[in-house]
Amino acid sequence: MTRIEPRDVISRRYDAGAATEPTLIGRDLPRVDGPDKAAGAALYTDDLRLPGMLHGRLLRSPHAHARIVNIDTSRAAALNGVRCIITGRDIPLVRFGNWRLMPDTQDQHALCIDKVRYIGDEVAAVVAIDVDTAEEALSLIKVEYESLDAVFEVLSSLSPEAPLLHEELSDNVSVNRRIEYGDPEQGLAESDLILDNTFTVHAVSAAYLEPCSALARYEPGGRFTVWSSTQVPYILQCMLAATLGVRENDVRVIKPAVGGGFGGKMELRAWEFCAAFAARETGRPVKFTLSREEELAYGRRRHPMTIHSRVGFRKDGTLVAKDLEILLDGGAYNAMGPTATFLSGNFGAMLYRYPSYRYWGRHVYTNKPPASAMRGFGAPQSLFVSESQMNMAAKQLGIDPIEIRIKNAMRTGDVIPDVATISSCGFIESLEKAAEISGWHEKRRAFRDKLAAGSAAPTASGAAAALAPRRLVRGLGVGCYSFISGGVFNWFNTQYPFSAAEVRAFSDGTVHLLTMAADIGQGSDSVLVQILAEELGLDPGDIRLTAGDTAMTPQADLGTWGSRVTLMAGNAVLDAARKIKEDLFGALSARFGLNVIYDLECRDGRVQVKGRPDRGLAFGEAVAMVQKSRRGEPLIAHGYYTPRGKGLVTPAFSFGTQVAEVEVDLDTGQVQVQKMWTAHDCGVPLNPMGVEGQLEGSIHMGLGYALYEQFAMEDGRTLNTTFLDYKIPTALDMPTGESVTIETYEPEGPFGAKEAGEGLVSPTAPAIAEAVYHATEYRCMDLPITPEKILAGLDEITSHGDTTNHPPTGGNLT
Amino acid sequence: MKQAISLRVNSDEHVVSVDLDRTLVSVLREDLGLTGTKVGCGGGDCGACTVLIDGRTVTSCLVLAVEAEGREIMTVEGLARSGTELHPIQQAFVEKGAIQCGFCTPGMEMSAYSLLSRDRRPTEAEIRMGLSGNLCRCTGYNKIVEAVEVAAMTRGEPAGASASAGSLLSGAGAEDHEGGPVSPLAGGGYTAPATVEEVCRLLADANGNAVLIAGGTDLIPKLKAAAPQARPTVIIGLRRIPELAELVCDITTGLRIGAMVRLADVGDHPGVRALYPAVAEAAATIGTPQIRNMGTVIGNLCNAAPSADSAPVLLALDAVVHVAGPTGRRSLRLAEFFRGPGATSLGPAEIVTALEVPPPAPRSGLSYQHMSQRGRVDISAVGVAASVILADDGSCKQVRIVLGGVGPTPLQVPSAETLLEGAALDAEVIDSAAEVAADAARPISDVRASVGYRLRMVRVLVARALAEAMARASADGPSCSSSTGESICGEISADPDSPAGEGRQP
Ligand SMILES: Cc1cc2nc3c(=O)[nH]c(=O)nc-3n(C[C@H](O)[C@H](O)[C@H](O)COP(=O)(O)OP(=O)(O)OC[C@H]3O[C@@H](n4cnc5c(N)ncnc54)[C@H](O)[C@@H]3O)c2cc1C
Ligand code: FES
Ligand code: FES
Repeated sequence: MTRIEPRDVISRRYDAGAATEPTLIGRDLPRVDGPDKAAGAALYTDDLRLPGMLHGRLLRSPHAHARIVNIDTSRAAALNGVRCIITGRDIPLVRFGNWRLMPDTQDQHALCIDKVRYIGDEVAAVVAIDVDTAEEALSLIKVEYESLDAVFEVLSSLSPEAPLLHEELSDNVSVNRRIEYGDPEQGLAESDLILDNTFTVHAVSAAYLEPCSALARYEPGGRFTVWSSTQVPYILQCMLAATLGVRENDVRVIKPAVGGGFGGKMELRAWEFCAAFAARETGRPVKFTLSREEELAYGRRRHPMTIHSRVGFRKDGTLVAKDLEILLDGGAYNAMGPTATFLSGNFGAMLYRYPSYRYWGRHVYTNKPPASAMRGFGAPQSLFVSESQMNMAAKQLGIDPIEIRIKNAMRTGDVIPDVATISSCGFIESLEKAAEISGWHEKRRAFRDKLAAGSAAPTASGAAAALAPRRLVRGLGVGCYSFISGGVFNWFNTQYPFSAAEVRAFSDGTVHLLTMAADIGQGSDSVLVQILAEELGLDPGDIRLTAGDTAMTPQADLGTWGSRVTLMAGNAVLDAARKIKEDLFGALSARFGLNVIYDLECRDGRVQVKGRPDRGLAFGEAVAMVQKSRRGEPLIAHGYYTPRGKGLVTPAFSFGTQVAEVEVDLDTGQVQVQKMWTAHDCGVPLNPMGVEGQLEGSIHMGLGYALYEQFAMEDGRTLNTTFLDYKIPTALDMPTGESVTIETYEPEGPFGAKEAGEGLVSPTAPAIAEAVYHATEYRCMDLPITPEKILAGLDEITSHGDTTNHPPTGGNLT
Repeated sequence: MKQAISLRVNSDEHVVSVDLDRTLVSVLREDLGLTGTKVGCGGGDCGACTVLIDGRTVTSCLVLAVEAEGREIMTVEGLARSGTELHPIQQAFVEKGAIQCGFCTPGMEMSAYSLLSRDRRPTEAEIRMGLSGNLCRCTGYNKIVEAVEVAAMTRGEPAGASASAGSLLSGAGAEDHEGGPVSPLAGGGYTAPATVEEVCRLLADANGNAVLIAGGTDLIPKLKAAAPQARPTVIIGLRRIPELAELVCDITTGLRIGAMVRLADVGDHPGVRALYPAVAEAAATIGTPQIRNMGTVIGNLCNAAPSADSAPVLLALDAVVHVAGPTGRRSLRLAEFFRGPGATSLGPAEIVTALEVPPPAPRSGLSYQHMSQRGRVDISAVGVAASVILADDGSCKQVRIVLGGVGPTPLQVPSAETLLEGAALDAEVIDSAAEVAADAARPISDVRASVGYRLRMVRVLVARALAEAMARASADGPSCSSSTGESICGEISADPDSPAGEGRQP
């Protein structure tokens, strides 16, 4: 990976003359939890076992929509080894949901009360001495259902005749969100080219490798301890307390090592509640661990969307207006759908300067597993459409796809009404750089010329090729993204700061960092340790870390989602570290009788006059002096961060460009992604190796989203429930890649950093779709791009010509 | 009904009492507290539970604990020498950023270890293939591949060897330390007899309550899916019967594959690769490295899935199946073996002992072409085998076309074959044969592909298979004088439990 400086480098926090250059920032530090994980010693929730532990399993609805008439648990209860059975009759009637700010959106109970709304909806739980007994007991529970009409598609769900999923509402729309600025209608009327298209994007699974698991313990005094594979320990604590009917601090949530989340582990889920509830009922620890089949068949998904977008351009490619209407297929409950509804509209306005813009998003219930947060949170869907339409417009206006983007690209200082202020932006540089490293202009021309010459001819050689020639064609495509660095909108209605940190300094030269930020694999523990070590001039090995334990770590932190941790928790850590430094500097000044004008620093394990190691103390000595001066009071500081004055969306945006090269087999429709080039602006990359890991993981997910992953559904039932049939890419499927980071300095971020890695999941699908179009003239407007669709598209082109990019279906040149 | 077994894990001997249907991974995690081995799917698909048995990677969620008795098991906890020092592979994973959430890491490391024990300097492509049975959702794999490359360079010695005293493939632990249970237990249980006759007798006695287990890769997922009451009470392991471990590949006598010969043995066998390249290729496309280390060719046939990847080639070669039963032994053509999805012509107490393929005819060629959505490591939606024998004038003397995945059993297509026999094979004839073959296919739509796509792929793949078979037939006829030397025609007759690996390398 190479790094380049952008044209508009924003002033550095460290001015050139200062002696204190960062020493750890920008270095490839190995993860703090690496050795433990490498040794197989790191403990994940299902690895934990407590004496007397019981095992739970969930009974799930076989119906997509039905009323629960009666539940007979008597035979199950009589089974030897069964300790507790929970149904909707047994639990407090508390609705919950992460959108506490809008109680209307809280539409779920911990177990179904009177109705089931999707196949897999949680109806009851059995806790027994072992899993087999629990499973046998499930088969003995008799639930009488009265089947109801079900609805599986958003459009039918909107019809007035559609069955209501939640009867307290008048229709199946649970969230409406509008954004409007400028005059889109007038803009469209003045446009030379209007693209008017409807796209559909599909559901995919987060497919984190660790299935969800929760272990709960209850102390007779009235306290719960819950270990869970969650990415939001604090939110889980609050939600558990609410549903169990206790105070928040009666629940201690501990987040052990977590095997990935990607948004799929950010709500209270039935098994977490049932483990805690049953632990109280039985007086014994209770564990629930899901199977992969449960995860795939009933688990949370990325929202499928139907997206209607009208976008207007002038002849020279300048954007004039955009009118975006999105129907989010939310499944049976809101889950994190309201956020996705908001963000999809925000992302629709990103990347380019749309002088006028209108968004109308509706979150619609259907009788399917709920969709929720997943890496990108609305961006992969919304940007697939923005980016596809940019590519289509480029084609129709005869402008190069990269040129048309540069023409319209957002820049530092841009303001989007209601949405954002862009305080750092390396988007144009990323476009230029991606074009450069991919050999964009030459390859686009070369592939195109070849196609025009009809030379999708035998590319393999030899006798076999002569008898059954392979027709392989290549194409190059581009896609871009912008993403948030954490959300500003306080939907959880937290009463605490967005992020907090506690730093305890010790006289042995070590420092203990306590934070509620949740490392679920993305490496936040390592980044926070790095930030703290940098600020205090220590070695990462001097830092001890306790994270994600609601009884130990400071209230509060909203958890890991929306790429908020590095910026928000990082700023909280910096805040605490600076307070510690002030105390240390005070002690140093007193010790050496320093003139108040001196610059002091923490560096190389010492606290000293800047550039004068002789006039200084070892870090531990300085801590001891502070403590002595306070007659033993420990040196502890608290740091906080809450974004203010940053609009309603996020404090900072990342940007980037990706180019994909594909080879398509015209006879089988199979697509092979040959190479991906990425140029992205994530501010200052604190740990380039970590950033690169996020990038490569994003390409993996983007590739799966574009080509392989999808659910086969029949009447609300998911048919592919194993990794054999739900296909995430393997090591053999990953293309090689090249990437550069465009270094901007984000003033709001710790050491200039902002989001890295979540946004990158978005550009891959549109880049591949454009590359397939470039190779074959088949334009995919309904993800994923499967061989069957490509062949059908090619047939269509053979019989009717390329229809997607020409009037009247695609757009009209007025 | 519990059985006491002794398991040797990371050189420690443990005695545990297990139910018949307990998997190795659950015993490792729950009874032995070795929680480094993870469960990501429980179905053999993700590789998180990868451990080594007798030096080869397996997915321990598809291994019955009773089947692991007497074998050398190695888990991630056995890699590092001490708590203060990581194994070079682990060290490389940490340093190269190959770990994010870490849930795939132990399984990845075991696959890497096995790879590096076999091959000191694997190429990038070989590393990717070696890791293709391990899913990772976080890293995008590239850093893991880099880490394995770095580990391979460490100290110039195979990183895999340092903790194992270099004995991985030399058969340590290959023979059982103890006999283990060999006689049936009154109330049911696991038993691994030493002779075929004993197996048949047990099957007959069990009256339909017993199942055979070879590699278990088809059987275990089915057992798990079945309700506990519906599970068989007796499981009969074939792993201790020496005759079933035989793999012979010889230019004069042909190919003989015993019932316990693993897919990997066939896929990697230099002789098979030289004489019957398409048979090796078909075996090598099945599942993942772990699945191929466990699964057998004959299990693939006995399971009788319409999509079974090894069936079409073996049918195209007119393979013969050897069967043993309570009344003695018999042989039948493989073409008579398949009866429908999951159904074969085996009698209730019969087992397949081996299958045999005639020696390759002069000027013959064989090809296997298959297609699935992901392209790699995936169940085939369509598979096509073609074998071609050329006459002296270069025309087609004999041809076999077999389609997999497009009917209740693999389908032979005589109509297309007659069209070709006697003709000079050019692109045009091949196209019309492909057309005729597609007419004969009877596919269904399922989660893997639609009817229309399958039919279309039959056409494409038949053409490709014929072309490749034809090209292979017109190239110099197969011989033993290739660069692999005479050992390619060697014979393996190792202990049935042994990985047979030592016999493979020339
Ligand atoms: C993740 C995964 C991926 C897979 N991918 C593929 C793939 O790509 N292509 C493919 O074709 N298959 C695939 N399979 C299926 C499976 O691995 C193969 O069919 C394998 O070859 C079966 O062999 P086995 O020894 O494991 O059979 P087992 O599971 O041991 O046995 C299968 C059946 O045959 C019976 N049986 C076994 N041996 C005998 C015998 N000697 N006589 C009589 N009956 C016998 C058993 O009782 C059982 O009913 C996959 C499986 C998994 C889990
Ligand atoms: S747990 Fe996934 S392969 Fe065993
Ligand atoms: S590191 Fe998370 S699955 Fe591989």
